[in-house]
Amino acid sequence: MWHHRQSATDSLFRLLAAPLSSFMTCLAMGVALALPAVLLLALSNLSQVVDRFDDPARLSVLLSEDADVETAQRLRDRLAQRDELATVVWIDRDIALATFANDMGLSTLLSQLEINPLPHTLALTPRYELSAAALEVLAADIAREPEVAEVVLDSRWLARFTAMLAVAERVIWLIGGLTGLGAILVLGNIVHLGVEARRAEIVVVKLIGGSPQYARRPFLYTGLWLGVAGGLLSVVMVSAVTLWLDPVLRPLTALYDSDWAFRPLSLVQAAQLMLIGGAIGLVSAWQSSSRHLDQIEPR
Amino acid sequence: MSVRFDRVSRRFQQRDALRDVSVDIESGEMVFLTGHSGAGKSTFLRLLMLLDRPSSGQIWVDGQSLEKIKRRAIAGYRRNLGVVFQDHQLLFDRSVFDNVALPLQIAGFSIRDTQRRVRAALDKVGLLDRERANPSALSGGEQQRVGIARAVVARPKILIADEPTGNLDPQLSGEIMKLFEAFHRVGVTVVVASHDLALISRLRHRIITLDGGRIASGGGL
Repeated sequence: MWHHRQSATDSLFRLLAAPLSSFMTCLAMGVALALPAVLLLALSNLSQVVDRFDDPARLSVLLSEDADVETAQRLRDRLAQRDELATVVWIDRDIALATFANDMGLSTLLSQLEINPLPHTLALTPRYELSAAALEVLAADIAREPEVAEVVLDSRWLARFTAMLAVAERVIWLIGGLTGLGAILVLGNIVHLGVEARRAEIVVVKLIGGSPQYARRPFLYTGLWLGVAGGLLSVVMVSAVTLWLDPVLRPLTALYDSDWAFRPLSLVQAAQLMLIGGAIGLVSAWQSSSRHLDQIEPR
Repeated sequence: MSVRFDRVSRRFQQRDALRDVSVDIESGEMVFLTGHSGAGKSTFLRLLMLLDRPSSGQIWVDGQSLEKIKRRAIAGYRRNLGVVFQDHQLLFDRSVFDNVALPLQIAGFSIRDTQRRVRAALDKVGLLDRERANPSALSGGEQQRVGIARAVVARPKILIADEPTGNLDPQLSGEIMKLFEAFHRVGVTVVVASHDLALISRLRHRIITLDGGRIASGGGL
């Protein structure tokens, strides 16, 4: 056990003895982690916005101008019998106008209108998650009813947006994979230099029966320290970016009259970043030291 | 542990470093290996330490064929051996204590056992008061004794020394041989390669003489 302790402290001191080059390595590591982390954070915030629409699939059925209250109620009752629909809500044109006027502060202006420009409306929610194609079919079917002027599919933009988010997520993972690979190579190179610098020691260790695991141990700790420190730096970078964006995001969300706020990195996510950093450090130290230690044989 | 070389040859491009060498060394025996430089002493020891493999023939240690020891198992095999190197092979980035402690750390001893054993080994070679020193601050003879302490600290079954008195004065050389004899007396198999015939013929142990890669005398029991 004391070799673990000794390897851990010794490799830490060796890294601290060359602070600039160690910092540069951690920085490269930090950037490699921070880039995908910032993008994923932005993505999760956007998804959070989308999730706030509780029933994303919604149909608004606008009735024709001349449809009266009885017609609207008849259509409502007919549609309510359809299996695909969970709820059918009738929105009375007069109530709709009053609500609209009230919300917009236009009561006086609108009260002077001779006629109500709004038609009767039925708001439909499908019973289960219909596919985009099935929704289209349903909308077209309802549009064929004689009283119906127009069917508006509220959810179409949302479906597109969700699909784009899915694409963006894939792209971000790809970027993350590439920067992670870059980090592994940078760290592996640092570990290689460390192996070369300690060649004499490795030869002696092999001569007197040190196992490959024993010879590898100090280098694994080197990788672990650099990786965790890189993860810590990436947390700092991501938080800095969040703080920098906050003042411009705040008025933007206020404009949409939303209580939505940009969610910064959580403690768990910060810990995950450091964990990923440590894992990358271990993996690259493992492959690099195993390969280069194998090449050192006592003469 | 017993050592047996059975018709062992080691051939390099054009030259036979060892030719048809058969040697039996009993468990607990002390033998000297001698001969001119280039006679094959180093090759003999390198084969025994698995730093090299024979071109033909078999080597048996404690009844086990070294041929059967695969690359991954070499480290474990070497932990049975204590080796004193001609050029000491000490590490100058750490203290005498840490140099001697290395085999114990490799073998996984606790820190308390390590301290006890390292001090005992350093005491045996008369360097207890130098444990905090850096090996580079020691004389050649002292460095050699640190090397001996490291070779014996983990109580190996076989102690191998390659020209341990190479550049020491006769008095120091005699003291070092006495150390090896002390380990032999407690049952360790000791193999010492030395070309110092005057010194080794005074000690009453078998002398195996190599000449041009062949056994000239002392091969059998």
